Order: sequence, then structure tokens, then C-alpha cells
Amino acid sequence: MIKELEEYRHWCWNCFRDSTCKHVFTWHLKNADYDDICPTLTRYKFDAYSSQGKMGDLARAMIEGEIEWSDKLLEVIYQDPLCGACDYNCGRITEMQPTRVIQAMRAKALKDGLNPPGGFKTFLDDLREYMNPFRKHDAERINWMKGLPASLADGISGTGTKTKTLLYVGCFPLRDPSAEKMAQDAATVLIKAGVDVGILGEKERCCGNPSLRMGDVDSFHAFAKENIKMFNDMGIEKLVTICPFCYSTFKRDYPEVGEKMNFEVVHILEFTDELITQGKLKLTKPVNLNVTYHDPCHLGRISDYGISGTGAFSGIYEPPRNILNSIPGITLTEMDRNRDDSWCCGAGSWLRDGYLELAQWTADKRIEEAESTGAEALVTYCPHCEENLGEAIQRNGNKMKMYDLLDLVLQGL
Amino acid sequence: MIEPHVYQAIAAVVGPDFISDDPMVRQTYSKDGAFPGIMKRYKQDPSAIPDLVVLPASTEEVQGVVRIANRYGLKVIPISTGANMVSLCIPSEPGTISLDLKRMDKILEINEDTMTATIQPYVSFARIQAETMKRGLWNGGTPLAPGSCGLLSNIINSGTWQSSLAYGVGLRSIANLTLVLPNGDILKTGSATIPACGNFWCQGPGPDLKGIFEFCNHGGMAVIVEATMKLHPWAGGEWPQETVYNRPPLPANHRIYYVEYPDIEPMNEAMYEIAHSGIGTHLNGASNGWVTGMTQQTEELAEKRWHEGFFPRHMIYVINAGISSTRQLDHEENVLRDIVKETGGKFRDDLNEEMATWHGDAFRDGCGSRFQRRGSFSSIKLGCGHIDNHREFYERSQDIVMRHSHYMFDEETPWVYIFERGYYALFEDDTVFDQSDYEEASSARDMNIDGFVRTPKQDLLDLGYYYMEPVLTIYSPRVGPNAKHWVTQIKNVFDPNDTMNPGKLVRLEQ
Repeated sequence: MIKELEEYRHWCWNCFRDSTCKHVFTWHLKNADYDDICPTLTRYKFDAYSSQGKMGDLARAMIEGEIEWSDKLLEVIYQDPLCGACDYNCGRITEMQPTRVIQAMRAKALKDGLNPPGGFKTFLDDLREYMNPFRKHDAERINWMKGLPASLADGISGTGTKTKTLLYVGCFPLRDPSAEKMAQDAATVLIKAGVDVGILGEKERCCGNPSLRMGDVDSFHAFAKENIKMFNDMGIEKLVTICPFCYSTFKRDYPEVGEKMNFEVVHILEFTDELITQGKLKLTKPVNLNVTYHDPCHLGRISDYGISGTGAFSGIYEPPRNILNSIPGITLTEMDRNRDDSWCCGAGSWLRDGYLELAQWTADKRIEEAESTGAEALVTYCPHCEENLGEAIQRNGNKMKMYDLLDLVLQGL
Repeated sequence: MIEPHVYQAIAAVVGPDFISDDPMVRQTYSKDGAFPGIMKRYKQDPSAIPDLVVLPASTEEVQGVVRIANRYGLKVIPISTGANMVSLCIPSEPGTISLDLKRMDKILEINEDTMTATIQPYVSFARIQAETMKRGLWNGGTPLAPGSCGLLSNIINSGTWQSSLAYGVGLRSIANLTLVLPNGDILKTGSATIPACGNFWCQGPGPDLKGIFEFCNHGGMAVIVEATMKLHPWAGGEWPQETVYNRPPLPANHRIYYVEYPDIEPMNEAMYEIAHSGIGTHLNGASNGWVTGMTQQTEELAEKRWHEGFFPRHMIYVINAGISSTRQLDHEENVLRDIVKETGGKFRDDLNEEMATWHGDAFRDGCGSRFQRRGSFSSIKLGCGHIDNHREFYERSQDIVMRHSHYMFDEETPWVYIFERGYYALFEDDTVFDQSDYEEASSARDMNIDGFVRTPKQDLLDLGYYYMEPVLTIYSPRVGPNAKHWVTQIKNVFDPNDTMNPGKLVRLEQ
């Protein structure tokens, strides 16, 4: 959990300024052209935009009273996708995690009575009013379900369902009709595999990720406690998430709230991989496509606290690849930066809502890398990655196709 | 405070997006992990914060910026990654521009015929290694610092690599340099100065100027904007990927050996014999303290194993490369085994697993700087000389340990680098300290000063003050005042206005 900024004093002073937060981990580097790992620094170049600048200089100076809040300081700490690349790189050498400090800076800013900069103020205001980041009412949370079998609709009764497996849909289908398909695909895959699954429908609440990322720690706690109580009361055993933001929040942030969670959190790609292995999903239809796969940060290096790969946890890297390799006709070509070294899509930490230009620039860079593989399609599984990368493809008139992974699974069934 | 018209003039050179006088931006160029920078932050010394940060993208832009700086009496500190251990890139007076070279990050050419690479200053070890290794070449070494460090800045600050046995100190790698002098003129060195000659050779017409600008010039006389580096054959094939966390595979066609010795003397004898036998690319002496600090996954585990004495107190490691064939590897192994047998060493193959980070770090450093986890590190004592100095260096280190409450990280034996087939050795004793604890940092600093002051020995080049204050760093105090006069005269020739990184090489009296 994010602590008070002053509690990170040791880390802030001891940032060695060795620039490991800026680059792909040395042993993993394959190509000098794809060495950058920090989107913000790569875009703006000044060290203030690097994690070492934010943690080792600005946070440290704030703690020691050397600097005061300014518009520029707010811009620097909020213009960041919090993609966790710096946490991975710095973490495996010094065991420090700069994004925690950056989030503590955000929390301090709000506590000091400041508003987040750019479009984030409106974003936070909307979130507080509607309890979701898309200015939609709870009744609209079921709009995405049109066309789905009635068996799933039974689960809409929310607390009325007796299922032990809950599909937590997330807020993203509220964004716009184009986002609904991802939720429909997820539900369809589970139904086709014969999973007895329920959803919360109108009763579903935001996981609290947007509040936490904006620095509104108190609101996040309220979301978390309410959700944990609801899930515990329902007696669910397995919480299946679609959106990686939700997954990361349930998986790494909820346990630190201090409430006992009587359920397991799994991501639908883990679950789908398991269903394929168990023979409950039979992928027999060829989908002839050369693809490359983009690892969402929230399924990877920031899907848990700790350093990915240590044995304590590893990102959800193999399940999506296992699934792709199970679909007949799919050929997977990796980008140079993959898994823990993946380049963020640019939508991390809701960056599109605050700093669209940076989010778009970051996505453009990822599309360039995807294209360099020679793949004809880019596959991922995150509504935010898909929105940002998909928009980059359209904006640039790129010929690359964009798929969510479960769409391909459904094509292969 | 930079006058608006000066700001505008520089902005016209680099573009408005690549210049900033914002206090938040400037703040991030005011501290590093070395004592001078740390102490300035504790004093909240405003002179440590530059007035301007500028990011040029080309040689022409560097020329433009330094000309303006020279004209208006501003100071210029070139900085690439800035991860030096001497606060070289921290300003020391008002009116300073931090010239951040991040945008000059191109590998301009890798010439497989001449075995050279031409690079801009913000090219890291990792990037040049990734590109050259694909071609069966490499730059010949890596520092015990992250591979994200700038290759060129490491070299010109006398970067030292574990592979110095075969490839020498980093400076041996430079074929030639292109520099922007403080007046904006371009100076080229080496064969590149001869039209159509090529840039593969370090000597050009007339006296060789390269040395003036490479060895610890500390950005004090020019901005290096381009360099051609020598490359060496790489026997390792495709760089092996880490499949198990913290356990990178050893590159192909290489063998690594850990040999334990009961004491320093037989260890020295072995290092001398191995170095002069012509085998191996890497030869170093290591202690329990060093090894635990660098190889263990967590600080907690490293501390535990250090105190337990998990690794030998006196150990050498050797890496052999099969550059011509696997028969070379077999032959070199036989030679090594004979030497180890004759010198009473014991092979410790059982350490391979626990020291596996070395399989990567010896060639392309990823985790070597883990020993800084406590906060920072400082060399308490550094010395260069014949291998036989090892014992006396060790005893002097122990003497320092006895006089201070702060500890030495590698109390058992200094870290030893063997250079250039045993021509000389570098001994290094270090400490680590928590930067956030003023008392601890001060105590480490006192120990550091003591370590460098109490050093006289006739045949040992003490690298005095190197980790304390960069002025005339590489020479110990016993060099005498003439060194300062000599360097001052050179500085006066190239930088009479003291524009470049003032106070770091030598301070000119204005």
C-alpha cells in the first residue's frame, strides 16, 4: 500500500541515479533501437521525467523542504503511466519501487489541497460523483449484455446468484459501445466452456483503481472495503477479472487494505488457459494470422507487489502465449520488448484522461515496434491498451489489425 | 539566473522543447550518489543546482550552446548518464548549464572490417554490446556498474572492467575522438584527421592530443561528441537470455572458474602465473564481502551471507574464451589447472550456482551495482601497482578499519583487477553507507579521506582523493604542485575562460 511520502525518505535519498529505471534491463536487451523503457522520459528527455528524477530528486527535495508545490511539479508527477518498468529494473537491483513514491507524491498533493493537473481534475471529480470513471449510471452497467444467452442473464441478479465463480466485468464497457465486445467475448468464452459463472450487473462497483492512481487513497479504501465485504458476503470462491487494471488492483492492492478476502482472484486469461488445458475449450478452427502480442503492464510487472520473476510472483506472461499457441494457424512473433521489459501502451494510470498527447505518442512507439516484427496483427488483452493502441493504428492509417485475445479464441472454437 | 536574451539564443539553437530553467527540472541535476553531491544537498547549497538544462541533438547544436556560454560567461557541464562516483556533473558555481547529452544517442557505425564502432556520447554499454555481439564482436568489457551507463563517459573517467586482463583499461579502447572545444571549434584526433584515411587508428599527425581529453579531463576542457572505439572478437554467439530469475546462462564458448586460496600470497602467485601465461579474458581477486554484495538476490540475504562468511575470504575467478575454437578452451583449462595445482588452490565449482549473476555481469553488467543497495558506496582505498603490493595494500586497509567506527565492505581482502596480462593490478577497498543518514555518510567520508591520505608507498600509484574531490584526482598528494601547474597550463590553452565544468579538473584563477 502507498505510505506517507516521508516514509520513503530512505529510498529517495538512496537513489543511486544509475539510470537503470530508464532502460530495458541490461541482460534482456536485444536491440539498441528498443532500449528505452520509460515512456515519459523518452518523450520529454529531461531527467525530471525519469523515475530517478521524481524519486531521488523531487520527492527527496519535497521531504527535506527544499522545494514546494508548483504547476510543473504536479505535471511531472501526474504525467506518468505508472507502468512499473522502473519498479522492475530498480527493484531487481536495489529493491526500491519508484512508482510507490510517485503515488505517495500524488497522495500528498491531494492531501495538501491541490488538484491534479491536466484533464485529471475533471476525471477525479467525475469519479467521485459517478463512482466510475465514465460518467455513467449504475443502470447502464448491463448494457453490454445484449445478445448474450439468457443463462448468463440469470447471474444479473447479483447477490441472488449462487455461483461460486464471479465474473467481475469492470467499468470499461461503460466507456463506449465499442468497448462492450470485450466483455461479451469474455462472458461467451466462459459460457462455451460450461463454467457456472455469475455477474453482478447493476450492483457492480468500480474496483477503485482510478482513485488509487490519482492519489485519492481514502476513496480507494472505501471502494476496496465495500467490494471485499460484498464478495465475502456472497460467498464467492473465485473472482475472475477481465480488465487488467481491476486484476492488478484486486491482486496487489486489496490485500494491503487489511480486510480478509475469502476468495481467489484470477484473470480470465489464466482461467481460459486452464480451460483449454482441461479440454473444456477445443480450439480446432484455423485462424490464419501472423501476430505479435503486447503485454499489458497490469497483467505483468505490476500485477503484484514484489519483483516479477523472483519466484514469489511472475506476471501473467505465459497464459496468453499458451492460448495463442493453442489456436491453429496463429504464428506468434515477439517484439523485442516483451514480458517484464514490455513498453507501456501509454494508457497506464488513465493517462489518456490527463495527458492524451503523451498517451498517443507512447502508443505510436509501440505500434512501430509491433510493425517491425512483420506481424499483420497486434493482439493484447486490456481494454485500455486496446483503446490506445487501436486508436494509434487508426490515426496513423496503419494496416495492422488489432485483436483482443479472446476474440481470436472464439474464432478458433 | 540566465538572462532572457541568453535563454532565447540557446533556445534558438536546440529548440524550445529542449531547454528549461524550471526549478523542478533543474533540481534533478543537483545530486548524485557521491560525497560532494550528497553533502551539498545536506547543506542545501544552491550552487549545486544548475541555472539551465539544455539538451542538444547534434555536434552543431553543442557548438552553438558552448559558443553562447563562452560569450556570456556561463559554465557548461556535459552529462550523459551522470552515474559517476565523484559528483562530476554537479555544478559548483552559479551560471551553470547542465548540457544533457541524452539526444546524442546514436551508434553511428559498426565497422566489422576495421573492428571499430563509432558512437555518440549517450550510447550505453548495453546498447553497443547488444548490437556488436550479434556481429561476433564486442567492446571488450563491462564495468561493475549497470550496463545503462554511458560507454564513453565511463572510459574517459578511467573505467575499469573485469576483462581488463585481456583488453586493458577502458581507455585502451579509444581509437579517436571528435570534440567541441569551449570556443565552439571542432577538434578531431587520431587517423580520422587524415583525409580518406579512416578512423581506425589512435594516432594522427603530430603529437597525440587524445590523452589530454580522455583521461580524467572530467568534461573540463571539451565536449566529446563522437568517438570511435576498438572492438574485439566475441566468442559467445547470440546473447543468452535469462530464463530463470537471477541465473543468467554463461555465454557460449566461455568457461568460468572459481578458485579458493588459503591466503593472499598463493593467491597473488596464482594471479601472476595466470596473467603471464596468456590465458583468459577475465582475472580478478574477490572477497566474501564483494561477492555477497553483488550476487545475492536481496540485501537481507547478502548481509546474512557476508556475516556468515558464505563465500571464501580469498578467491580468484577466471574466465576463458574459446575465440578460435573449443580446443583453445581445453588448452587454457589445462594451463589453469596446472597453475592452480602448483599454487595450492582449490576449484570451487560448487559456487557456480550461487554466483550465477556473474555469468551475465562479467560481460554485460546487470546486477553488479547491487552492493550499493544500502545507499551508496565509496572506495576507501584504491591503488595501482605490481601484484606483490596486494599484501601491503591489505594491511593498510586493515589499519584504516581499525581507526574508524565505519566498516569496510570487503575487509577480508581487497578486490583485485589484473590488467593487461599482469602488467599491473588495481586494488580496491570499499565501503557502503546510507545516504539518508547524515552521520553514517559523514563517517564513511572521514574514512574515505583517511584512506587516501595515508597511502605513501614508492611503487604503488595511490589514486588519491579520486572519490572525494575530482580536482587533480588521479594523482596522490605526493605528486606535488607541479601537476597543478601543468594541468592549469593545458586548461588555459583550450579553455581560458574556464567555461567547461569549472573546478572539476582544475580551477583557473581569473
